[in-house]
Amino acid sequence: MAAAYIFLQALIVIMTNTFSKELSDISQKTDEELVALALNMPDAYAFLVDRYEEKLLRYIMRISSSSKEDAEDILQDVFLSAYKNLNDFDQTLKFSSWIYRIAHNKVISHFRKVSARPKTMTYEGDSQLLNVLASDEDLALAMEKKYTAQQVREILAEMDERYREVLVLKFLEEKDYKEISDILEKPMGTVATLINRAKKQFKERSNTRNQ
Amino acid sequence: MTTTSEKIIKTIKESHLEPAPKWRFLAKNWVFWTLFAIALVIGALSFATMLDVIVGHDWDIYPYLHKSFWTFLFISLPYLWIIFLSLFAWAAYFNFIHTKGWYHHRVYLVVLASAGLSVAAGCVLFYYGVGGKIEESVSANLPYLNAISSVDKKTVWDHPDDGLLGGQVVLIESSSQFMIQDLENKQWQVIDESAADKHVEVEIGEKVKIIGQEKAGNTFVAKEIREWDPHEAKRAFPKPKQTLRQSGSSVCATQEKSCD
Repeated sequence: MAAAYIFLQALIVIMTNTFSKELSDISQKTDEELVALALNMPDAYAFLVDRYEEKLLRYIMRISSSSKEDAEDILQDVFLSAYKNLNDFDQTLKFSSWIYRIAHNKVISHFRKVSARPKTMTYEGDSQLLNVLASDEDLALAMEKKYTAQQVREILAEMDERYREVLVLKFLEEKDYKEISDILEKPMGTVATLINRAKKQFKERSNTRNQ
Repeated sequence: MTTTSEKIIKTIKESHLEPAPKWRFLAKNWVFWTLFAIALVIGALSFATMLDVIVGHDWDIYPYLHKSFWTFLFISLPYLWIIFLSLFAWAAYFNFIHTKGWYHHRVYLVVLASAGLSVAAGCVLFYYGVGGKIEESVSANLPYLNAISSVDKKTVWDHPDDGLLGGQVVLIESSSQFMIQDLENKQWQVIDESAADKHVEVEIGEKVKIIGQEKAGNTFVAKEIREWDPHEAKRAFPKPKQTLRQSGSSVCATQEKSCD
């Protein structure tokens, strides 16, 4: 009886270790490998959700006026939609670009449904945006400007949607031109133009506030 | 696992969600590429037809109709084909921007290349008479579209009082006189006073456009004789109501009068 109990315990330990090792192996896989795995094993998809949950929630809140609860609903919709469309994932893209694109489209369709214009919510630390934008201005002048996250939020909220989103992607989500092009499905030249115009509009709006 | 991932996996399992099959996405992409190609082909056909209408048009006759060139241009443009061309150019663009990874290409280059391809293919189709056949078919089967597909030659060349007369040669009397039956089935004696370079050799049954002057007694003095192009002629003339037969050295219409 005791031997059987010891054997069972040993078996549980071995199985737990094996499972933990497998999970640990899975967690070390790249996004693209996880996608391939998730096609046959839904549980593997949980790792992708864990990796992107916070980033996407922040992104959704940054580009929309949703409350946290609404943003979480959109986020859930994003993950379910991404799962249903896993076979459409283009391996030439980064998975992050692809899932950000789905989030971007879901935010747009959400606001189409509620017939409202997305506004901006900010996360702590969004005031870094202005510092980055001001970096190519006179440094001394830039240093004088002290913007709070609230002020950045207000300026972003006044901006055109297309400009606001590229600023968020470039300076807050720290995406490069190629990634922004893949997320917004716009040619890279268009992205560059949008960023330049967005920076100009942001500076104009912030200068107007200072006057 | 976080709460969100647990919730997602639970929903996936409870709702038996599965990733949609890959072929569905591939098919969707192919549908857009196919529609893009079809739009280009229809664009080329529209361009060929537009070219046929423009090239076959008598752009120099506006003074006879007492109109300015711009008014004449305005009423002569083949609006139907311009609308078709614009519509299918837009359709090509729409389908292109729905293909996967379209934004990796320079859109203006794709638009220019597509337009160039349609124009080049349209020119080839026009050269082989496809444009004329389409115009002819539209005129025959969709007559209510005639007004916007091309200027109605029947009305333009049915102005003998303004010096424009169109018709079919029914009798050649001499080298400088022949008879035509106009678009209203009225017969005219034509006296050919056209210069050599403004003249085509007329034959029995041939459809001609004549610029000249109306005289008394259904007589028309021709200053210039032009040939209808075969497609235009088919569009302008109904099926002949009479047959022509040759009698000795002359030819006459059997229905209208007897041949001696």
